Amino acid sequence: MIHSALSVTVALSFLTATILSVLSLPLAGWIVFSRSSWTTLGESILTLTLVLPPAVLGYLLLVVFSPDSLPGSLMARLLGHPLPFSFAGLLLASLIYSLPFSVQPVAQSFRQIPLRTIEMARILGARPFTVFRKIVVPMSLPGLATGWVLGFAHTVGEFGVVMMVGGNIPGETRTLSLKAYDDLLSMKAHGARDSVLILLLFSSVSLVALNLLRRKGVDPHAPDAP
Amino acid sequence: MRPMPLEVDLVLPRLGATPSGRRVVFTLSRDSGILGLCGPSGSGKTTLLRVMAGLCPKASGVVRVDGVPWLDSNLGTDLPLEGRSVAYLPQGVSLFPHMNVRENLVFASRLAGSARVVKRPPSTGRLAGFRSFWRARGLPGWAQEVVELFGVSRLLEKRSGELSGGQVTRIALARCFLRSARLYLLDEPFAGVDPEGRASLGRILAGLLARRQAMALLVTHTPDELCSLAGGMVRLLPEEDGDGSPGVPVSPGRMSETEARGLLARSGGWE
Repeated sequence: MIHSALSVTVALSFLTATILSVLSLPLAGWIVFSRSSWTTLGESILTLTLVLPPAVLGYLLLVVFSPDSLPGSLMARLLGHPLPFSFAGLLLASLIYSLPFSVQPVAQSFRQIPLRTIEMARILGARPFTVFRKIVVPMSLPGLATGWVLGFAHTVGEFGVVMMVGGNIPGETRTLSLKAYDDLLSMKAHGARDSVLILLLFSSVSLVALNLLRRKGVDPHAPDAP
Repeated sequence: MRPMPLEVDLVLPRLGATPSGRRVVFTLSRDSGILGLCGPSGSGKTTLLRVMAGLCPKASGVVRVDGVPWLDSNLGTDLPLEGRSVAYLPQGVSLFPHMNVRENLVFASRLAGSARVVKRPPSTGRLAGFRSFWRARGLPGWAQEVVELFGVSRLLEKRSGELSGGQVTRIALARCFLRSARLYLLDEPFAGVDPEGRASLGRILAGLLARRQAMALLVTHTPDELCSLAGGMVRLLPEEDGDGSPGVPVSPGRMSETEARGLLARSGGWE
């Protein structure tokens, strides 16, 4: 039983973190480097889920994902099954829920690149996209890694959203945190303890990784920086 | 009549410590060579270079190279950096920290190489992919020459943290000269180099400019060392002197070939 919950959690978190890392590049690039005044609004929307109660977000997503709504029915036709209470729906919800955790570290890294460095590349004749690809992204690798770890850890621990959107189906949408809750309610103390221990392990490993990355990120000019 | 190689008549915008509304006028009548630019801190040297490079959008006045207006606020012309045949070496420049010296130079040479028109033999398929892979590792021949000229070929595998200030200066100069341009704007290009090194770098620079038929505007705090190199000198005065009075147009004096004068800028004064 714990294996299926563990594999659902790991698969969900891994996919969420990886997809978000890819998405964070254009999103953070737009927030940091665009001169458009829409970026303030965009950034607010991106960080909305930081302050929104997970239950509220879960409810809203259920409404949007429902086959009765237009986006929900389109997605249902595309996938062949309705989004709520499926792994795909869970993944989409996690992507939205963990978005700020992956984008913010990347945006922070982008902001720390000296403008002189970017201007120097422009002076040497690089077009904006080349500057992004060859200068901005390679100099932000610690930030990207931090974003991945945060996205992963945050998805591992999410509870309210997966409860509302996923529906707690064993082997499909039941994650470790849901299993711990279920086991506790049904007085299976051992099962709950095992789930909690694994969650604790994930959190500790993530913290160690984040601290290592932070130490690396402090001095990007260190001679042995990768 | 042939157009003047370089004509500048600018009112400097406010940027950092530079006072606004200063007028700078000078011309360079020789086809190639170095024009020195000196003046105390805050007199607008860097601003002038940035305006000429096309990096400063609020400039007004005229910059004409070979008769082509790069900037003409009367006509509304203001070519972007890409539209000007210019190479700019900013003051206190650093290398890209995530690349070693070779990668820094390859990055610049590829950007410069894509701009020049090179006839390549038609190559196809896997061979082309293999070639482009090797080109990414190594510098093309023409770039190798520039690198050797500035004496940095021994440093190619070093990271930017392992270099001395003088070495960074040489590499940055080499990287700047990978770009072939009509006008080179060099902001204190010899910083951190010992006197003998400065003299030899100066000779290298002069030779390269003569071969490329290119002009350079070179900012220096020690005009003496430019005696033998520069064809003339533009001197920006500190703010107090530039109180808006018409200024004294100074005769070019010994500058027989080069005319460098400013309405608020005094010229000459080396030797």
